[in-house]
Amino acid sequence: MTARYKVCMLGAFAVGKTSLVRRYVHSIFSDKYLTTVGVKVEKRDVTVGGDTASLVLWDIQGEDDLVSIRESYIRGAHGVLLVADGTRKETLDKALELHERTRKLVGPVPAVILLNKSDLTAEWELDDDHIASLESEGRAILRTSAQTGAGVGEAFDAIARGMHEA
Amino acid sequence: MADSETPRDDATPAEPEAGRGDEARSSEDRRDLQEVRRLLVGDEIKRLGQLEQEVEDLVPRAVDVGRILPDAIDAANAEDTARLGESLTPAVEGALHRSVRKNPRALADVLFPVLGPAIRKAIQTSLAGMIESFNRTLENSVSPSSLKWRLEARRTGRPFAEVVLLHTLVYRVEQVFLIHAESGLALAHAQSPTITAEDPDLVSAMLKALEDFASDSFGEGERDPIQQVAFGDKVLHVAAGPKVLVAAVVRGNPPPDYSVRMAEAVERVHTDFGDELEEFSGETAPFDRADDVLAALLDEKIARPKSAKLIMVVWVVITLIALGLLAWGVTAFITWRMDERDRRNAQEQQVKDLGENFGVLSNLSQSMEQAIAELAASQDVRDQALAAKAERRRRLIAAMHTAPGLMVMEIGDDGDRLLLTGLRDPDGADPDQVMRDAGVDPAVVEALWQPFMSFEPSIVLTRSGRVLDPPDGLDLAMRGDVLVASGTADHAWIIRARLLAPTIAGVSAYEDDGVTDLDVAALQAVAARMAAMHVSFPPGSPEPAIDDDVRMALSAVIDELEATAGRADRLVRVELRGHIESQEIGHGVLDLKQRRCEAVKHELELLHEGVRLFFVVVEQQDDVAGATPPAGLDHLRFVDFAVIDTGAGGDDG
Repeated sequence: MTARYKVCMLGAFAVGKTSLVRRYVHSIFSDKYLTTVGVKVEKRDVTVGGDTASLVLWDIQGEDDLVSIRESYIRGAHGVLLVADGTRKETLDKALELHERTRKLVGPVPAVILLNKSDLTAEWELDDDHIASLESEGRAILRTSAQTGAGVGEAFDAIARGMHEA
Repeated sequence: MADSETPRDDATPAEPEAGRGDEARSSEDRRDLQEVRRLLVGDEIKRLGQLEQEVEDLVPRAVDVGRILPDAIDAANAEDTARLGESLTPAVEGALHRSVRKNPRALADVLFPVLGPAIRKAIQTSLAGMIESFNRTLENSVSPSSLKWRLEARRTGRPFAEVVLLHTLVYRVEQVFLIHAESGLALAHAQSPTITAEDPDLVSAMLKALEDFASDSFGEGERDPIQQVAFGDKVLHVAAGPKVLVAAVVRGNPPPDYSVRMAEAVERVHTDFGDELEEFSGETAPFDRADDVLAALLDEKIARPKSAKLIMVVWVVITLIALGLLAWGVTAFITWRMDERDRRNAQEQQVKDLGENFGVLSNLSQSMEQAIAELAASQDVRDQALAAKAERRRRLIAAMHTAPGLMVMEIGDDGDRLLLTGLRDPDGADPDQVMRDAGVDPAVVEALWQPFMSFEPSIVLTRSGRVLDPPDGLDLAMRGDVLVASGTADHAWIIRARLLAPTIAGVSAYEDDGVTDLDVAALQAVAARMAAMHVSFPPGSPEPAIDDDVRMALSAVIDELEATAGRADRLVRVELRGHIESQEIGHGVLDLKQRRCEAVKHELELLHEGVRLFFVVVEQQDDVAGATPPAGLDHLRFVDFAVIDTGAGGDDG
């Protein structure tokens, strides 16, 4: 089996999407694509359930009040990684909002919420009860740190597994 | 053995029931039974034991073999590598076959690092060879275009072949992507073997992203996909369908029907892979079958620069050139024929000349042989001459070395002549004579002598002889640096020698004690003669009885005395002594003596007016009684003379 999965990295501005991808893959494209066309594509081959799969990661420019995500970039995605900054509570809300929009566009594809910057525990704003309640809704949530690399591999493995089993 | 126990076990149940007396019989039966067993199955039992032993020994033996196996292989390798390889080949081949059948991936993983580079290298070599061959072909071709491209290659620093390819290439499709329209994932990809492409998954996705970006940004409501994106000398052609895009990277300008072919390809994919596209969830394996569709789009076309018109022009040019060549050839042939005739005549003349030259050469050869012989002879002569010259030179140096008053400073050759530079004392040996004595002809020696003074005793003696000019009877000799004179010489020479000798170079002192002064001797002889003379007086008379003979004799002796005293540079006094007889006493003796001396003196002074003689009257106190007359007189009435040397004289006495 040879599968190729389109995975979209979504999240608010400056939550660390590009840093997470950079931790995970080696890119051939310049970051300037992010600011010019709003997306940069990366790739990494993984082994899932004994099969080889290629994760084609669409690192999509973060959304804020001025810039909105091009929905055409999300079309055809087989999975989404919703990235939030644990030190900024509002970014988790943005992630959840983007998740909803993604569902409308591509259906219920596997999605993992990544609470990034887990190394900055002192500035951590997210409430554990809130996270627990989200998990109870069936959402997959992982803590990551692009700075230390903690949880990064697990996060991509989790989305790969989710897409492969879908 | 374990087997021997079994019959015993079988026999055991009978024994308890047997009595004591039965034991002997039972034992005997057992022996019989054993004997029967031995006879029936003895060999098998023995063989069984051996087999059991072999089985037991197998494991330790395998361990032993395993221990020595590496060493054994090493030893076999060292002895004969080929033989070991031959022995192992079937086993290794069999093992490889089994391994591949069982799990191909294992071997593929092992070979992967080797195969990749090997394949790349083979492809590179093949391409390089092709380019090189192409390059050579191009290098040999000349056309206005190729000249232009050659200039361009030189200017840009690119290989000529590459420049030609770029110019002659109408178009080339370098890559074709089959892209899933919704996700942008690469479903299939094909590329030209001559290019190096990036990961098709990434390129496809970014192409799709760009396509989305352009469509979103500049599209007008309805989705209007990009059809072409031009970048540099490449164009990205896109043909879009509902489910897939076919994108082709093309260098140059493809024919108009190429976009149709792309559209057909899109349609065919939709037709062939409708279900797979509908159910697509990332699995791309089914689309491997689309490779043929994409490969058909990998197309290229090389330009054919020579159009029919151009070919026509070329043919016309070639024909004109051919005609020109023909005309030139005919003219050249005629000229060549004429030249050929002239050349043949010239050659005949040359052959003739050659014959003559050969004769001359032959004579020349003989002359040369003779010349060589003469040369050899002259070489001998030259050698002999050289030897003679060396010998002459040696003798000359030896002779000069011993000759007095000659000192050789330098000697050299100038052809046959000897060049000699040296010092010569004028009183030394005669160089020419020395050369002759040494057997060297003075004519072949060019000598340059500088004068000098030698202090050699022989030279000093010669020099003294030359300066002093000794008279006969006088000898000169050197005693060290003292000049010694002996023999006889006149007074004047003696005096001159005493003055000059000390001034002669090399003479520190002069001795002439052994020299007799001839003039002094003569003076003494004359004085003696005069002393023997006397003048007689008559008795009682103061006037001498003197005749002319006496007077002449006296005059002569006085002249001689004068002369010899002058030569001997002596002052001489002549004393006159008057004598009287006893009978004359009483007549004034003293007065008579005086008067008689004065009379003789007067007479003598009349005879001689010399300056070196002066006469003195000396009163003679004769003992008259005992006196005896001188020879020739019988009385004592006389005056005689005594010559007294008073010492060295002067110029005016």
